[in-house]
This record gives sequence, C-alpha cells and structure tokens, in this order.
Amino acid sequence: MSLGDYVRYLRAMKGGPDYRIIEAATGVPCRTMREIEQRYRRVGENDEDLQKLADYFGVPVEELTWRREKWRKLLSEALYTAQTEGRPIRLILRDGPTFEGRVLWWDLGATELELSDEGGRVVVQRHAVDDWTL
Amino acid sequence: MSENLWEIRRRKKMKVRDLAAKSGVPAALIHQYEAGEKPISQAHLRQFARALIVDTWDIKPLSDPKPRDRRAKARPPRGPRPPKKPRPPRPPTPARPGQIEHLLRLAERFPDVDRASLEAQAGKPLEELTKREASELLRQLQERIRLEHPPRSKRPFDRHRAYLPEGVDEFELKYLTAAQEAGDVLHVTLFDGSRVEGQIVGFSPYAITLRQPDGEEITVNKLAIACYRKRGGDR
Repeated sequence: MSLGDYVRYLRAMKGGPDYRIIEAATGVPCRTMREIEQRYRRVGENDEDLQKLADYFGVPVEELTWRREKWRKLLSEALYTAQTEGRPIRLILRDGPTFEGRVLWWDLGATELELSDEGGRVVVQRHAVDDWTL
Repeated sequence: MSENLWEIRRRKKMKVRDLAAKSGVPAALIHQYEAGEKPISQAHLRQFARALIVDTWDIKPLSDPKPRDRRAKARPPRGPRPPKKPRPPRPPTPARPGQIEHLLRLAERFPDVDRASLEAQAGKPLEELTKREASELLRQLQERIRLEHPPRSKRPFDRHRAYLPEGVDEFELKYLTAAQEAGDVLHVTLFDGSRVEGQIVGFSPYAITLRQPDGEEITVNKLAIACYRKRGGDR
C-alpha cells in the first residue's frame, strides 16, 4: 500500500477530516496532503510532515515511512512485468488474505488475478495491496 | 479676438494629453484640430472652452497649423530607405539533451531503429545534432508511431479518468459493466474483513451498489473494498 493510499485510509477511518482541518491541526499544508494522496510517484520526502501526520492519526511513524518506498508506480511496474512476462505475482492485502496468480488485467484502480492455487479469479483493489513480490 | 487651440493650450502650459484628459476629447483628434485638418465641432469647442477656462468664441473653429507643423509640411519628402544589410546567419543551436534522450526513448519502440541507425540517417553522432535536425528526427519517429499505432476509436468505455486513485479505471469499468449486464453476483470483501454479496445494480467511479439476496440494496465505497469475486449467471 502506497503512502497515499494509507493516508487516505487513515483519514477515512478518522471520519474523513478534510485537508484544511488537518492543516490546522498539524501544520502540514493542504498542498502536501493532496500530493501525498493523489500522486503516483514517490512522495512524502519530508520526515517532519510524516511525523506530524503519524501523531495526528495515532500510528507509529514507521507505518508511514516504509510505505513511502511502495509508491504507486512501483506496483504498476510490478503488475506490468508480471503480465508481460507471464510471471505470477503475489499480492499481500492489508489485514486480509494473500493472493498469488497471473495478472489478467490491471489499471490504475484495480487488477484481476487468475489464482494459482485454488483457481478462480479475483479483482483486487490496488489501494488494498500492502506489499507484493514477483 | 479668437486664438488657435494650440496657442491657448500652450499659454495654459498644458500638453495635448492633459487637454485630452481634461476635456474628454481624444488626443489624436486634438492633434488633427490643432493642425487645422478639420474644424472643431461645436460640442468639442464647448468641452475645450470648459477645460481651458475660456469662452467658446475665444477658440478658432479652424486652427492655423502650428509653426512646427508648417516646417514639417515644407520639409521635402524622404527618399526611399537604403536596403538593410543582410545579417550573418546565426550559428545552429545544438540539440537539447532532452531531445536526444527522447529520441532514443522513441527509438526503443522499433526493432529496426537504434542509435546507430539514427546516426546513419543524420550523418553525424547524435550529440552533434542541431536542434532543428533533432526535431526533424523526432517528427519522423512520432509520425511512424502515429501510423503504426493509430489512436483507438471512440468506444462506449472511453471516458475521462477518475480523479482519485481508487476510482474505477479502464479495465475495471469494462469488468463491472459486463458484470452488471450479465446480472452477476459479486462477493465483496471489505477492509475490515466483512463480506457483502449481491447482484451489481450500478456503480460510479467511487462506489458500487449491490442488491443483496434479501432484496435490500447496499452501496459500498470503493475505498472500503479490498477485493471482490464474481459468481456469474444469477439472472
């Protein structure tokens, strides 16, 4: 799960405070929040901002910093490689199951896997993917 | 005795633009009046009189040309301008590094194009290309891409991309549309591990609405969904 997806998740779990409320509470500018949540490239370079957000959402800052390394385009690259090379990909979902299978399609929001072990197909939401291995 | 407009203006130490601003008459028209090119209209006479604090009859309706204007009129016409000296041609601008980089990136799309073939076509190393030459090579490659990979025709699935990352994108849109049309039942697993099951009755970029087996409809936010499976054929 990218940092942006995780922050969106935390924000939703806190009742959906908007960027201005978060800016007033933490000092993290709306612009930074928007960038973190919506960009596909690597974001969240400012450790101070991440610490403030971690304090605000009540999670350890490490939960944010390691996700900084899992930016959205990396998952796109992994899905693209898995599909074009016909290799199975293993998707580890947040607080949920792990799926391993062949990528049938993927886009910016989701991917469909043909599962290796149990058969069948599943559509996985990209924002739910915590980690992945090829 | 009446005076020329320009005489009164100069005596009042006003410039044409000052008089224009004060009277509301355009400066270009004042120049024409002062040069005696046309008689001053009654309305403008009143405006000038008010601006210059004189009576209307103090201003001559048709001005004599100003002394400078007389000289200007007496000046012989200018001859044709001498032809401009041709400027020496500018040295060609070298290609930008970004152009070369882009050229090589485009070349990767074709098995028969690489750095060597591009250099052979240009007749020099890529680093020595001029900006214009690099543009021409780029244009040729882009034209080839356009011909070999024509843009997709408009299909019912084509639409603007959803704004937020969790939004329904191209392939998921096709998937959900097909599932909705087939009356498939979706088994949705949410982030908290709970499950929702139902026939898909509609969806938006950020939510899916399902009709549950008891007939009740539920709308699930995409952000809350972890994954879903399809069990088809429930028409």
